[in-house]
This record gives sequence, C-alpha cells and structure tokens, in this order.
Amino acid sequence: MRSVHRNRWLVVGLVVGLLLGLVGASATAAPVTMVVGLSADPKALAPTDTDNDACPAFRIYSALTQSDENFGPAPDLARSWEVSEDSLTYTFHLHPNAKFHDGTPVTSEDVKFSILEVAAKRVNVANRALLPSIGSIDTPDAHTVVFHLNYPNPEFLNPYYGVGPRPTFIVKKADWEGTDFFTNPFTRSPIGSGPYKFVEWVKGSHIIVERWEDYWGEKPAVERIVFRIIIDPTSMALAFENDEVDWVPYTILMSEVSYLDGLPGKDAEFHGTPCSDSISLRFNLRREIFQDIAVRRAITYAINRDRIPDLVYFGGGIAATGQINRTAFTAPWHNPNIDQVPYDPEMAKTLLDAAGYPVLGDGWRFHITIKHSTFFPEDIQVAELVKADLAKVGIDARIVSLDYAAWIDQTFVNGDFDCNLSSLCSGPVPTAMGRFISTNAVPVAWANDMAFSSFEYDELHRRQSSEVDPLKRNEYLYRMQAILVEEQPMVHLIHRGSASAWNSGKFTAEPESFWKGGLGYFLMRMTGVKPV
Amino acid sequence: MPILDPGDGRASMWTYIVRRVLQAIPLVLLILIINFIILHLAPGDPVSFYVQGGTGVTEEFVAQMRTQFGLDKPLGVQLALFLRNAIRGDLGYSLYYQQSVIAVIGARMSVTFLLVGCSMAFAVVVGITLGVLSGRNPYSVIDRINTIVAVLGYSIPVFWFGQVLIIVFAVYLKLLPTGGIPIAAIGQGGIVAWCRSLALPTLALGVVQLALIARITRANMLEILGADYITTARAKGVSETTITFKHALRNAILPVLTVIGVDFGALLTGAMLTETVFNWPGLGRMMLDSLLRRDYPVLMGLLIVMSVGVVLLNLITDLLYAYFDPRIVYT
Repeated sequence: MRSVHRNRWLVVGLVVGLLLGLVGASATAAPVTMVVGLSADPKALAPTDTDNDACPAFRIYSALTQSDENFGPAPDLARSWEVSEDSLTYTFHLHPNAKFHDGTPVTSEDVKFSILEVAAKRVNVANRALLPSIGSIDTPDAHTVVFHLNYPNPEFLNPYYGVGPRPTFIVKKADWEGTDFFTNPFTRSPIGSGPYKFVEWVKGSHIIVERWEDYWGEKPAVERIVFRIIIDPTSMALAFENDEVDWVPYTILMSEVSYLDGLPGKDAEFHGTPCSDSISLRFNLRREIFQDIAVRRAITYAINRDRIPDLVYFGGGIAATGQINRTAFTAPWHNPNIDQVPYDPEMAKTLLDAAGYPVLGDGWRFHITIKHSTFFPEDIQVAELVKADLAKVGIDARIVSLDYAAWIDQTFVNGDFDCNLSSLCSGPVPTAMGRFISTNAVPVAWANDMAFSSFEYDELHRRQSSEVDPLKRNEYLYRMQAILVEEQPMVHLIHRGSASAWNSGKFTAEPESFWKGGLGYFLMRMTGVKPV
Repeated sequence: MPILDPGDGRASMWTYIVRRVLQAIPLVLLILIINFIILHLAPGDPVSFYVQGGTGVTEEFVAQMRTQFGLDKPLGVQLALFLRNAIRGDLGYSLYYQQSVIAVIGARMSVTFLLVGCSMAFAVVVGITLGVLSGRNPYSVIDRINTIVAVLGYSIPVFWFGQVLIIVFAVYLKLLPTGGIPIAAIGQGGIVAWCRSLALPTLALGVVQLALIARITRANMLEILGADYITTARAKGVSETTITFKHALRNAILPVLTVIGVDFGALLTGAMLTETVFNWPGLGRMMLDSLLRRDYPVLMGLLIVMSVGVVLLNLITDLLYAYFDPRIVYT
C-alpha cells in the first residue's frame, strides 16, 4: 500500500517535471541564426585587408557610410553630412548615441584616428585611393568630423572607395593608439560599434557574432550569424544544398547555379560584383614581338570570345566589349559604343603575314607562353580555348599554370611572361582604371603588368580623378576605355559575374540586391534580412 | 622486456630510446634546413600574397613590407635566425594570421590528431579483423569481400571518395553533416556531434590504410597458419580461437606494425585532401593554405611538428615490436 502511494507521487512528479521541461524549452526559443559560407579564413577582423575579412568585420564595426541599394552612400555611423560647394570640405554628423560594444561612446576622435592612423597603415587597395585626397581632419566636437580634401575626390562618399565600409572601419582609439596594428589582439577579438558583437573565432572553422541588444541603430532581425569557412567550392555547394549554409556570397560554383536554383526553397543567381571582373589576355609590351600593334590586333582577331561564356562560365558571363565590365556598379560610366574587333581568323593570318610572321617549317609562325594562376579555377579553361584558337592561325601557345604567389612573382613582379591571363577588377569606381597608367608599371602585384604607356590615357586619368561633374568625367572615362581597345595592349575576353546562393526558404532580403547584387557581403547592413 | 641494463651487452629500453631521440635531432634539423631553402627559393614570397595592389601601391611600400617580414636579409641569415629562435622555442609569427606560430598551430593540432587517430584506429581494427577472417577462410565469401575492399580502397582517390560519401550520407540520406567540426557555441557540442562529424572523414581517410592492413594481415595469417607449430597445436586439441589469436596473430602482426607506423606518418602529412573536402580545420589544410600564401613561419612550424611526429611514431613502432616479439632485443 505504501509503495503504491509512493509510486503514484513518483509518477506525478515525473509528469510535472516533463511538463515544466517542455514549457521551459518552448520559452527559450533558439535564436534566429543565419549561416554564411566564407571561402577562406579572414586574415584579421579589422583593420581589414581582404574581402573575406570585410564580410564578418562589417557586422561588428561601423563606418561613416554604408551602401544603399544603388551603390550610393547611405547613413551608418554618420547620420547626415554636408559637402561644400567646391567639394573640398565634407562635414559628417555622427549618431549622438553611437557607442562601442563595451559601452564607451563613439567620438569624432575615434573616426579621425581610424582613418588617418589605422586605415593608412593597411595594404587595402581601397585605402590607397581615398587617403591621398585627405588633407586634414578636424573634430570641432565629439560628434562632428570635418574632412578637408587636397583636391575634389568624386569617390569620397563611395561605399567601396570612399568613407564607406570597404576602406575605413571605425575602431576605438584607446584600444589601438600606440599599438602594433599587426599584432594588436583586437584584430582577432574585435570591439566595434556595429549591430553585432564578436563571440568566437575558431581559425579554419567559423566565426560567430551575435546581435548586440544595445545597438544604437536599427537592430537586425537575425540574432546570430555563423560564418563557416569552407574553402572547397564543391563542399560549399553541398553544404548549401544540405541546409547547413544559408547564404553563399560570390563563391558558388558557376556549374552548380542552375541545379541549386532549381531546389525548393533555394535561390542561386549570377550577378555583378563590385570588382566587376573582366578577363583579359595581356601582352608583355616589353617583348619586341608585342610592340607591333598588328601582332596584337591579329591575336585579337584570332580569338573567338563568343563561345567562352557558355563553355566556361555556364552563362555567367558575356564576351567583353572593352576593359570595363558593365555591372550595376560600373553602368554609370561604362562606354557601350566602342568599335569592336570581330572574330576573323583569316584577317588574323593576313595581318600576321603582313607583319613578317609567316608560317615556318615547323608549322608555326612563332611560339608564346600564356601564364595564369591556378587560384582562379576557370582561367585554365579559358587559356585552353585561346590556345586552340591561336593554333588555327599558326601561333603555338604554351600554357603555364602557376600557383598564386609564383604567378604574381613571375608576371607582375619580374615581368617574365609573354601573355598573362587573368581577371582584373574593372570597378566598382573609375579609380580602377588607374591600373593602366604608365606610372603604375611597377613590379607590384596587380599593377600595370603590360607596361602600357599612353600619354593621353595618363592625362585623362589625372583629369577624371578630380572631376566632380559626372558628364565631364564620363567624357574622359569613355575615351580611356576606347584607348584600351584602340591601342590593344590586351585582348578583352570576358566580362564575368559571380554566383551567390540564398536560402529563400528560411530568409528574405529587402532589397534583393543585398544578396543578388553582392552589396550585402561587405557594404550594406542586414536590417532588410528577415526570417521567413 | 628488459628495463634495466641486462648486463650482457644488450641495451636497456631507456638507453635505446635516448639513443634514438639523439639520432633524430640531426635528422629533424636536416629536414628543416632543406625545406627552408626549398621554400625560400620557390618563386613568390609572402609579400606577393599579402600586398593586394592595383593602384597606388609603391615599390617602397613593398620593400617596407619585405623588411618588416625579415625577407630582405640574406637567406643564410634568415635560416640562422630561424634555427636560433626555434631552439629557444620561438617559432616566429604567422605572416597571414599575425599571431605566434605556436598559437596558430596549437589551435588546430588537436583536430588533426583526432582525425588521424580515429582513422588509424578504424583502419587497424577493421583491417586486422578482415585480414584474420580472410586468412582463416581463404577463398571464401569473406575473403573475396576483403579482396574487393582492398583493391577499391587502395585505388579510390580520397577526394573523390570523400565527396561521394558526402553526397550519399549527408545530402541524400541526411544522416551526417557535410563537413566541419561541431560548433559548441550554437549547441552542437557533445560526443554524439563529434562522432557524427568524424564519421565520414574517418572513413575517407582510413580506407586506404584499411586496405593495406587487411591484405598484409591476410597474407601473414595464411603463411603462419600453415606453419608446423600451428599444426602441432591443432593436433594437441588447442581451439581455433586460441590458435588464431594467441599463436598466429601475434606473429602475423609484426609486419603490420611496420605498416601502421609508416602509415601513421603518412596520414599525419597526407590529411590535407581529406581536411579540404570535409572542411576540417586541421594541420593538413593549414599546410596547403600556408604553402599557397607562402606563410614561411607557419610552414616551418608545421614541418617541425610533422617531422618530430613521424620520428616519434617510428620509435613507438620499434618499441612495440619488442613488446610483441620477445626475441627482439635492443642494441
């Protein structure tokens, strides 16, 4: 009798406990978590050097501006700003309630320090376009920052090349002043003023950030972001298909786009990127054979560019019309009216014969090498197609595949190449065209490897760099693009996009350009991303 | 096994260990020197990877970077500085991660050892089991299965097999994750999560070793089970189980030990493909990434870890030999 009585109470206790457990479980719902796939481990979490750094870093830090859906400046840390008539003075008004994750307020001194000291010491290419234009920065009060420029900088407010997220995250001066910026522990355990706080970084595996509940701006709906580092693109696609990754910015295999897009609750698309990649075959103009424009023009005639997009990029690209890839970023200044060199192998043969390069006894006119980097997986396929086209007109092209560092060393640094095949950024702003000015023919990665030199081109670039009238500026930019086709220092092959994937069954994005346009990766806040 | 000096000209175990360690020191040094030179002579350097130019990056800035990384010094000076610091326990600073090499490697060492350990344990247990069963039942169904498994296991490329495993078990059957380690901060911790994450990479990495161990065990078992002393044991009425495990396997295992010792080292150094496919943040993948980035300090640190690891594993293998076979003595 006593044991029955005891057992009854035991059962009651178990049932109550079970009910309490269920209630407790339902009361503590899992946070809204988005998993983002990164293709490489970031180097640091600010100041940033690479795009893989910038994606998680822009969740943690603020910048003066962010990007709106049209790649224009939108408020971030700066609530508003004014520009003087002569475009030499920019006055930014900071959010009065902005603070860092440790509760200390963000002040104008932090902004000044971040731009003049921290950004200046990093190798980020975007910094190097912005900083030379800045003469001085005044901080009349804690929430006002005044920039005095050396010359009008038409890209000063640009999110990518100006005071936006790409070049200039705002760090806390007290955490960085007097430290070595390379070894400062805040590069790995950052304290910022953005909508997300840093939680954890396991190198090679993941980074976790969580929504900061005391954020001074509009809080995002996503409460937690896990950045998973997946370097193999096939593994990335499989993880996305398996619902282990919700958003893969830029690095979805092009061959997988149509398959992934067809899965229920999944979207995948080609889109332009801020870099606006343009694939080209660049001639080493130091080599005597390529100093003859007839040879360069003949090679251009020989290459059938129209077949490359479908064969290599699965539709994620078009035959190039010039150096500038027309994307949402470059559309305002892209020149659509450049006379093209058509595919005409017979004309190529005629030009080569006239230039003094007939077919010799071994069946070839001459032999060249095409160097490329294995870092970009499609480049070898493009090189093979180019090789096949050149063979038809009697040019023997040997393909040399190199790993990234060796490729940089042999081509850009040592100038030891005949033809260099790779993509180059043609955007997002005209500053990118400065790559081809003669003074940039230096032994540095991604500089003017061709040693192209044109007085007209140099002069036009100098003028457009400080021209704030968009119509006038476009005159210069259009002509610069035409020169690159007329002078033919390279064969413009393909304008390619990138591919991103989005788990539309779990999240929506407003505007869609957040992920379809590549803006959300490192230029736009996540306030428009919401769980379904 | 002799622990103290047996006094008859044979070495004690500890003397043997000390001698092997001392012999290993110049070997490891030679490995480091050769690889240091090869790495630095290869085209490209960390600055090539580190400096993302385009416009406005000057030669002076690049030179400043080279000085900062110590790359402007003569190769011999760089080597001497590296060796001096390494002897003091300072492996330098990762040029990419901007952390000490010891911190960078230390953070990822455990996951590699976990993967390699599990793969080898899987290969040893399953491989020996298959080999014993095949040896006891030659040309039977189990023996033919063993042969097929061995041939396939040895021939299949790891990266292809790994992706097939992911497609079947993760994407189609949704039984296991596609890769990566469990993330405790989002509730994925615990032994079950780790077992699930380890299952596929262990299988992919261990199948080659399994094939080799199974075949060698089978061959040795066949030979030993035909020996006279086994026939005698059977005649005396000893059970087949005792014959197999007490008399035959103990002798058959010795060549397998050699394979295990050698393969452990190969696993340690060769896990980079598996770690890449399965997104496993271990030393193998770090070596590949560091090689592409020319992160010299990390590469040299990894070489130290791996060469010391291989030397230690070979030493342990030799000691195990003496454990299993009392006829083996140290000299």
